[in-house]
Amino acid sequence: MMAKANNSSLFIGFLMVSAAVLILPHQITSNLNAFFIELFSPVISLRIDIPEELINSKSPGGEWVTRQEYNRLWVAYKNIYADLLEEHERLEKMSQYRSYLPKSGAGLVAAKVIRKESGQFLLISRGALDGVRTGQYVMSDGAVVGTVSEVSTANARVTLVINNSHSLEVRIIRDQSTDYLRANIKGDGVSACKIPLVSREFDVKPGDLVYASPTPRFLDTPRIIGEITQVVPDQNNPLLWDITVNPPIDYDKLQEVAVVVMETVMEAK
Amino acid sequence: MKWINFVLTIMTVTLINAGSVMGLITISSLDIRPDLLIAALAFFAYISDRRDAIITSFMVGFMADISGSTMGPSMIAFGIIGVCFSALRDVLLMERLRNRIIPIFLMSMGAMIIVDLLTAIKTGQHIARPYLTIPLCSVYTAAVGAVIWPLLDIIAVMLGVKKRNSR
Repeated sequence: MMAKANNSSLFIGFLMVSAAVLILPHQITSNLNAFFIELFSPVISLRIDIPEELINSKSPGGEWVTRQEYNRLWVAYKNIYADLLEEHERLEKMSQYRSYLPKSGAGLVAAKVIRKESGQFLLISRGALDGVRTGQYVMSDGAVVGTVSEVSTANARVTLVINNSHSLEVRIIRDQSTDYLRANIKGDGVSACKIPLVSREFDVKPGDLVYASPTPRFLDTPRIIGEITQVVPDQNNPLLWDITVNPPIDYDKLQEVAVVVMETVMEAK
Repeated sequence: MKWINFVLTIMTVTLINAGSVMGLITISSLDIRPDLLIAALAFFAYISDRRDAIITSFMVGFMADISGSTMGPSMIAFGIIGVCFSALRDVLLMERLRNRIIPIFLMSMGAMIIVDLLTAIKTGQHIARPYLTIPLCSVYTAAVGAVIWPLLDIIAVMLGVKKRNSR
């Protein structure tokens, strides 16, 4: 009888402690998670990679590249194209007046991916000490993969663009065109993204490119997110498009990313 | 129970569970992977006496929380589910592989649903497609848990836990 009462008290005691921990603000309790990650990051980030040669047999003529290499080159090409469009735009403005302020410089902070977390998050090895702040863009091989959502002293959590609670302003650009359409992109929670609320009045086709829009203090030029792979009428609202975007990144294989840390004019002073 | 050995064991399981190594056995882009801590929770809740089951359940929950992203949900979920499982241990026969799968599956489903709900309350974050992810992860956890049970049996001897008599 006594043992039963003791067990009940023990259970209730533990439950109350757990409830107290749950009630504590996430900003406070997340320090415990950050401490654990910092302490064990060498073990947690340990990877066993299966060599590419075991997965893919090599072409004898060497006429093709791996999907990873193809994606890297595709992203680089599309980003250069976006830069070209920006330069055109800048040239048009320059021909009218000289910009007063110099272009703010963007720095990249390279970070190691400690692990990919369920729910489309990445835990990276850079934090507030390295200038990483919430909202900064995170790139891999030149493509935007997500934004920083939580920062601790030495680590940060990145919400991937495929996360279904993640939203970003984007530009939809047709290849070889200078016009673009503004929209918002949202992850589908699995491996692709969706662009909701685009009217069917707009001409959007598979193959159009999706770029993250420049954002003051976070991104100064458009950077590629992915390519539109499917455009069908929205089943719930036939006046809108249901647009699917496929990012050119294999998130499971991400080992290194770069955080865009912009040095604004004010900070430089 | 030799508590230092238990802490070391759970720490090892936690590090494997939280590590990138688990990516090797992850299935599909939905991130379907077994939760080794739930398998360990099932084992320790079944094999320990009531008092130890309460302590181990909350400790495993604490480890799940600290190695994850939110503190609190797993402690509560694992604590409640572990104690319930411990209360049912007299009517469960876990000696055979096929008998272990359903209890671990149900336990995993219960724990994951509670964790997802409490995490959503605390941080507003939901896992993607829970109606698909939770059952699939639970099936995977049950399968892996049932297979590694004999290994945990060996570890239990090192922890000084008396093996239960099979009926």
